[in-house]
Amino acid sequence: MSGMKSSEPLIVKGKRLDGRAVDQLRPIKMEVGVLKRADGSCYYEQGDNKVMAAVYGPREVHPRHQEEATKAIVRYRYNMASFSVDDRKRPGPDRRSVELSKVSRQAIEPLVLTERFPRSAVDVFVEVLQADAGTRTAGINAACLALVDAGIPMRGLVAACAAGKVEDTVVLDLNQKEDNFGQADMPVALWRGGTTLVQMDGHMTFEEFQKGYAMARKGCEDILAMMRETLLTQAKKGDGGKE
Amino acid sequence: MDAVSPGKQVVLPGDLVAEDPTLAGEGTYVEGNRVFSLHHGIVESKDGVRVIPLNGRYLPMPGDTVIGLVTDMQFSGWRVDIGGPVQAFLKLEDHFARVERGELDKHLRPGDLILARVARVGPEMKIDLILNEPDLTVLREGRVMDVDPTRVRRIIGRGGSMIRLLKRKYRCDIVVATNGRAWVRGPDSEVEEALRTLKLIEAEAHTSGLTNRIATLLGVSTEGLTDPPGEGRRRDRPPREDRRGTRRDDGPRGEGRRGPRRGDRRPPRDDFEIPSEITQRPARRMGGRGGGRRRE
Repeated sequence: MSGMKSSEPLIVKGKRLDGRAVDQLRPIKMEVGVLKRADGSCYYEQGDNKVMAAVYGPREVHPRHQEEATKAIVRYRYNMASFSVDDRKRPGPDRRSVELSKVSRQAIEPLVLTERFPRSAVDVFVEVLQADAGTRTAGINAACLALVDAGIPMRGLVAACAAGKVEDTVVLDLNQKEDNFGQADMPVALWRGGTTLVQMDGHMTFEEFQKGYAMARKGCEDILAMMRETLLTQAKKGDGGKE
Repeated sequence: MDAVSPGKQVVLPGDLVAEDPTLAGEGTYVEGNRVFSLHHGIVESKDGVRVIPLNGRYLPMPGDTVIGLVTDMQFSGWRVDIGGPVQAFLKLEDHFARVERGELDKHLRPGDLILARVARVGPEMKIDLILNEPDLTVLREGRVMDVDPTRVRRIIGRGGSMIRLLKRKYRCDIVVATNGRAWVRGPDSEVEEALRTLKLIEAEAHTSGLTNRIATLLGVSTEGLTDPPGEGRRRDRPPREDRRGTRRDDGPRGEGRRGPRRGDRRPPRDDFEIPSEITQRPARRMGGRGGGRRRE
């Protein structure tokens, strides 16, 4: 939300720069079980976002002082590869990725049956290989698929997607240009039992918020349907995607 | 490859599996009087609704027979990796030999493999193993392979039918432990073959009529593979003499300690009855050719 003006109009006759309608998601691709040595993994693409998620566990907690006697802990690491953005990103955790790790963890933690595995940890690693706005939501979707692939008991599936405001229009699933030159960005994550993540960067009126939230909700439902299909077709293959 | 067996429904976490909370079984949870799945798995609706997961880690349950890797020696026992969420513990008094304090390394060392049983799983996931039951032992020879713990049931087969089929074909001792590790001992070439067949069964675990198909593939008859229930279970095998006292072979651990070649062992008996669903024959020679994994 830099407040800068884009050199070109972002929405022309209801079409966006990449040709999408205002309530249309970018094309999504997902593949489960791509990493052999992880307990669960997923490669996920949404438009020009490319994300890899790996899940390990439940396993022993190191360092030991983090362990909890009554439940498993969930650790989530969101990381952007240095080559994932136009200008090289300085590698390693920074303020932004620490925050995203935290909110993403909180988006998936209510789904995991942590009580089932006392004294252990479920580790989720999300690596952003290529970023084009909306990486946290892509990461959450990838993480959810990887968790199911790892066979970790869960109360349901989460999906995440963003809505926002561009040129005073509420739109779904912002891309990089829309994010940079738009007015607001609002990532949402939800599952059958409720919403686990809502953030908003920028300004929207209450009506815009409601409209955006409804749009994001619809987007999440569409993504959920895709996730279901991905997981079920891999079950039919019988090998869970491994080997 | 065949689809999942007909009539079986595949569900994902959070899918509604029943409307009646009294039906809720393993792999499900109840919320607002409805029953939902916890796993990506197959629904089984015999007396209640259960969801059998299609993948996932081993979750230890009391009574499970497991193959564990000793990882650490402590003052009062050994820490053992059984592939569960946390490591298990084998107390020295639960070893079949009389172990003196301070002499733990004479019996088990990090790197050793054991066939043990889960005695207790505490509320804090404290897992206790025992080794002092007749069918449990230290695995000093043979090979161990990882299999998917969720597919062990299929590899063993109903009433041990699949495992019996394999034993009919290969002159090997085979143990498939609940925690997803399979142990095979026999002549090298047969072990190789047996492991390959196990992999195949694992890959096709969800398909129907598998035992028969494998039988055809191996060219083995399926006759008498399933015992009438209750019969032919031999849990009450007397303990072997060399289980009392310390290990028979106190010789140096190392390269020089090779036993006779494998191939000349007499073939496993075929009239042997399967002791339990996890079929296991005790190691006849504990010395043998040195522990399989340890020195590699």
